[in-house]
Amino acid sequence: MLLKEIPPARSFLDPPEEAREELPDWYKSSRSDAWMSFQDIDWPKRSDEAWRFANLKKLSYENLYDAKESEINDAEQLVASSLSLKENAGQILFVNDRVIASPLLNEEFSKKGVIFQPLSQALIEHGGLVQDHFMTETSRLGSAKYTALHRARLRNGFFFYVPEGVSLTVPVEVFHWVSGNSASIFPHSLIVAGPGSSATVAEYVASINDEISFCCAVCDIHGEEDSQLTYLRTQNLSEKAQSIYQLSSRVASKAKLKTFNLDLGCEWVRNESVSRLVGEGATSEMLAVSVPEKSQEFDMRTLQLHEQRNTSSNLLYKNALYDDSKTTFAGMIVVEDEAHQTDAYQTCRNLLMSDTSEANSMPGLEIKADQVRCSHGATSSPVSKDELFYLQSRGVKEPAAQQLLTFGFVKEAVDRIGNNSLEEVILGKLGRRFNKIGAR
Amino acid sequence: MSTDSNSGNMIEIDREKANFHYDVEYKHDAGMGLSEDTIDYISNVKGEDKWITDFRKKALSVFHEKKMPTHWASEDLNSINFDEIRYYLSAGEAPKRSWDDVPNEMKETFERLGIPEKERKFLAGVEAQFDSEAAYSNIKDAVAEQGVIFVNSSEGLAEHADIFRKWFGKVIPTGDNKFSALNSAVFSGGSFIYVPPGVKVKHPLQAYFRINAEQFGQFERTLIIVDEGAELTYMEGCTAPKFETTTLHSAVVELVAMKDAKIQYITVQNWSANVFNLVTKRGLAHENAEVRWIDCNIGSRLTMKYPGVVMKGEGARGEVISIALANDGQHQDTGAKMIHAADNTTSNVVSKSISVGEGRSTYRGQVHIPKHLKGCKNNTECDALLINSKSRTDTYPAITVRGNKHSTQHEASVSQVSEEQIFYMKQRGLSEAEAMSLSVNGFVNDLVREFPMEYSVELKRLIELEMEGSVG
Repeated sequence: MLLKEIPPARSFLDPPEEAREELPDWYKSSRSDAWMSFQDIDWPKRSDEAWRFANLKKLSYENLYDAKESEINDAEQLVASSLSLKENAGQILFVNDRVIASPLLNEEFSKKGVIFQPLSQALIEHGGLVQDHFMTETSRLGSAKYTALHRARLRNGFFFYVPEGVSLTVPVEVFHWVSGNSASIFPHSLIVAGPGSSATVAEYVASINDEISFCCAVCDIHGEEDSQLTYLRTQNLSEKAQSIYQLSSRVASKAKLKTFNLDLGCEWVRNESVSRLVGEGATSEMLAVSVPEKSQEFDMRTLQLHEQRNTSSNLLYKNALYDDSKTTFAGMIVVEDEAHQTDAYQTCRNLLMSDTSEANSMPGLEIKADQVRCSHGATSSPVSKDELFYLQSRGVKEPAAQQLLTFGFVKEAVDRIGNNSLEEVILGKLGRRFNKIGAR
Repeated sequence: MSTDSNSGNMIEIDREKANFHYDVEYKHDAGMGLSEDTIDYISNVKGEDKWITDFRKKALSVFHEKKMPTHWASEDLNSINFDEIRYYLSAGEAPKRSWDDVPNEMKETFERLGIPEKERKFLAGVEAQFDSEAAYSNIKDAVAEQGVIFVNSSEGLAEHADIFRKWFGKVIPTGDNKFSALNSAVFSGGSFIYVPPGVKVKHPLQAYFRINAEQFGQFERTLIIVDEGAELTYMEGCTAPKFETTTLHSAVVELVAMKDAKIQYITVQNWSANVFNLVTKRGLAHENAEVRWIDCNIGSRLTMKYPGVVMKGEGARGEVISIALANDGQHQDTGAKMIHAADNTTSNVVSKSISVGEGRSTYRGQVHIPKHLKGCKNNTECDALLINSKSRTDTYPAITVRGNKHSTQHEASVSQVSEEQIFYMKQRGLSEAEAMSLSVNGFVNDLVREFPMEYSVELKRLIELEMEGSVG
């Protein structure tokens, strides 16, 4: 699949493209306001506490351009080449933030009032509903500049709305590809799970070719009372790409949210994940797996914010580091004044597979209420010699044993997704990665 | 136990014992504020060599250049007014070798705090600092005969420059942080200790720091060098009367453990609740040496103290054992710093904190294992106990591990005294306060046992005592 070189045009430091005429006024002004604040906010510095241990040298601001329309649009072939679910309730496909095939949603659900549309369409057809939920959260973990950039330059994304009491038994899927050298995309994800509803969303971000690219994504999740939502994202951009991804969720009373993030691609990744527990009995589970190799650098910042009593959160991040790769994990649990009976856990485990990999862990707690149970743990260590010996003594050769143990290590987080078909997709992607590493 | 009605009264430390002061006539007073003149004054009183005066002046400019670390630390630091502090106060006499020669007010102060009694009982040597200078300094003959040097910082630099100058300011450089620079500029008092190769000092050496004056800053400087195969236990205690104005205590403590040496450094800090206690403490451990910090913080308004160990030689070991108790109006911001710089080095951090009433305790930690080392291990445990509904605790560790030949683990937990436990004990006839006291003592018990006998008894008594009669 050869791509004709499209000359890049608008740098992401240039003023963004005008919003289309038919978009609502509030959205147009939100864009222009965001562009103003993008220019006002300082670039992150390494001396900022929120960027401690980050290697900002790897993040280039220059020579990146708004992705142009790509000539690659063979949806069937693109889907066939990526691992995804066998069955879904609906799908939307994007290349360079442009829809490449008619979005699908099972009629059964559209009849029940489920909305699953490209954001550009939802802004026109469901403007009020989008406005109520669009970027209502402030950036808390250091990337305010990129939040503004995203808001000012975003072209598309998806809006998923599940009305009260509706259950989707099968997940919906969203695919993003990026193509073209130095292309930047700004995919936006907005998910609203109405009271008592339940749904599952899977989103995949990948590169078509081995090119420099930049992905600045924002995902906002609103889990209303009693809702149950599972959201999963995989990132497999090219090894030359950079990605900044900000996930914010509000979990209301008795609602349950589970998020899972898999990072495989990119030279440099910054993930910020905030979960606010805003109603009594809310539960949030935050899971992530990453397998960096070569000189990849993954920087993960998280916040579990307990604002009400009787809420619980549980975070598990697992990293297996190869070669010269580096990870930074900074996690914070905040228990606000009145949030008694909070149950909060946070675990980050690093498996160091080479003598030159580097793992930084900063697990944090800020507790302002008593009657709480909070704990965190962080470990960094190599594969256990005993486990390796056990497998070897049963005839498994060392490289295979290493691979098995690493696979088992990350699988713990995958198992917690609790949905077989999604776990299969993730394990498939991990299997490809480990085979590639094993074959070297 | 989230009952607001008795907030803050469950554990109230006995501070009244140390809350007294005497009017002392100071012969030397550098006056309010800090400038090059202050330094000239101090150097002149002490009759210091030029290199020391130059060292001080350089440090002063570093202090002015450095910003307050409020981008990560408490904003409360901004309430220190450096112009309304007196940087040097002394009665102008050399420390006495006998308590009988110590001026009356000072002697009474230390008598009331029980220092001479403790000395007789179980110490190998004592230095008692009153404001800027030591009033008393004595080491038992048997220990001195072994070649152990135990003097104050001025005497150390003047009389034993060959030993101390080599390491002075090397473990903690002037520019390490704003307060180490301040100390380097105006330091006075503190202990300089040298233990010759192979000498194992049986009984602890002790320093006692007393602040008597109002609007004053105490800046003692301690340097301890324990030579090959030698061992030393050092203890320090500190108190001050409670004034309305702020008092500043900013020490620098450097430890050097040569090959196979062992140093145990014990602190029981019980400053009054108007003292800013901003201390830099670090030890350098050579091959197979061990540096242990045992740290107990009960007093002060804001304590910022993160004892560190740089493990420079193969097989070196570092340890920090820390207990903090934060009551209303107090912030105990403590932690540990473990820098692994050689193969097969191991470190251990155990920190327990108790927050009472509106007290806040914070743990900050740093563990660093650089590239191309092997066999380094770190274990960190932080447990926090919250007594009341407004009590607060934070944990901010940072762990860097490079390479696959090491292992680190960090764990922290936050809990409270369980209702069931209290109920169980009340059922068996204990009052609520007794039950609470027993629970809290149980929480810190395994750490209290790390303190020398006399201290652990006193610590347990302190916690017990404070809870008696505090619940109606």
